[in-house]
Amino acid sequence: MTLVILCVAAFAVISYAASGAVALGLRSLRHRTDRTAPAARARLYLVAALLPFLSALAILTAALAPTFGWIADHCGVLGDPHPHPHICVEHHVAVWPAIWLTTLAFAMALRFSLAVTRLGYAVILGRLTQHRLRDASHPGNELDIRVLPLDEPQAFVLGIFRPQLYITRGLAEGAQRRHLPAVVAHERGHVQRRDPLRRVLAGIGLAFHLPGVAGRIAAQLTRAQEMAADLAAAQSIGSRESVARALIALAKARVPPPRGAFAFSGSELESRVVQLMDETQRRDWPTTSTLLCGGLASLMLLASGAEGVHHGVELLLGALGS
Amino acid sequence: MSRRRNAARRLPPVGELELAVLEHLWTTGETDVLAAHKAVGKRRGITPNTVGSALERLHRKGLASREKVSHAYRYQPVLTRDAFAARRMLDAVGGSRTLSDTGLLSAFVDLVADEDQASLNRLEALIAEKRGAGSGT
Repeated sequence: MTLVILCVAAFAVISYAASGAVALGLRSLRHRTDRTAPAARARLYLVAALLPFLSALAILTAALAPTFGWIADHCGVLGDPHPHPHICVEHHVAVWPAIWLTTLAFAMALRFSLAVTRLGYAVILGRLTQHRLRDASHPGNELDIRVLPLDEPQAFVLGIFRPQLYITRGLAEGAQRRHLPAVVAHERGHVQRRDPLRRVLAGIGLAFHLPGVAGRIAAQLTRAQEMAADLAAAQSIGSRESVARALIALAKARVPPPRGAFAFSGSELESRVVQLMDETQRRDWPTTSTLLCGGLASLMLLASGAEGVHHGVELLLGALGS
Repeated sequence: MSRRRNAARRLPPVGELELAVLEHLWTTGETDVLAAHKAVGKRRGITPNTVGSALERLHRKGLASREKVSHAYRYQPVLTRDAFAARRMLDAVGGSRTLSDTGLLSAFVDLVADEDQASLNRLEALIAEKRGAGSGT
């Protein structure tokens, strides 16, 4: 039991440290990320969302290498009594960790349970909603589109693994009909890029971030995905202006009568329109293969230094007062 | 603000009598209190006043519009039966905001954002300006 608590506490400490590093990294790289293509930014924010979970999992797995029998434990070298806590089944000494480490472990276990519950909830809710909206809608003129009998012009994709594209009757038949190609191309961009699945995965990873960091990453990820879908739509129909005009037209159809002044700067819609009208070429880097290679190289580095990682995690837990 | 706008987008709760009156409105397209009472109220053994109150509540909830003809109001449905059913289904799973928050739904424009008309006009002007600059070069 104490070994499990130590491992979970180590997982929490590593993931929170990684979250802090991610927050600092994104802050210092903000100007550089602003100059990258939205698709690359979306990839970066997805990695940023998952990094604390993945790094904690990888480091803890490497630290448990002696338990799995992958490497020899260093207990024999250090002798008994060991100067720091053991995270090894063979030589484990059942000393209850410090109260704050125990609390941290329970808090992390709770967050992990919530993340799993959230995933289950999203899957069930997605299926339920798709089932219900399928009943409420009818097939459109194109195979991948279904039409909802609602009067406001709107379009969205719904679902995680096989997202379905819905448009409203107000968009298909109303005054905004001329914007339909741009809107549908944007939504198809989301489907092709598997944005809903990425967003749900990011949501799970964000549960392992420090409070305050998760919200900022989630907002940036959504923004980058929308911009990437805008650019995909512009490329598909061959006009950035048409997509920008569609955005404004649908937002106008949605807004209520003027209610006084609102903050203009920094709005999502403004960023998207400005981006569409700015034809500066942006670098689409890092690519997915670059990120995968980086991850693989990090894993190999961890595996080759598993003994050091094992000892390092034990020292860390010792220093934190277990 | 977003929460208030979201609340405005969700259907208000509708009672059993109000739903029956709505069904009558969808069938006839337009009704007044006495006609609605004859169709819905008599077999329930309720008074015209009760049916009138149900119509009044539907009007307050934004589900029926009305205009005064002579001394009596005539009511029309605001949503079609299909639109009402689709909205109910969306609401049953928590509404579009819940679906967006879980990552399940990606809408073309944020369903509950707060851009006002003046801001949107300025963005249109920006597009026109960029196009002008592009064609001028």
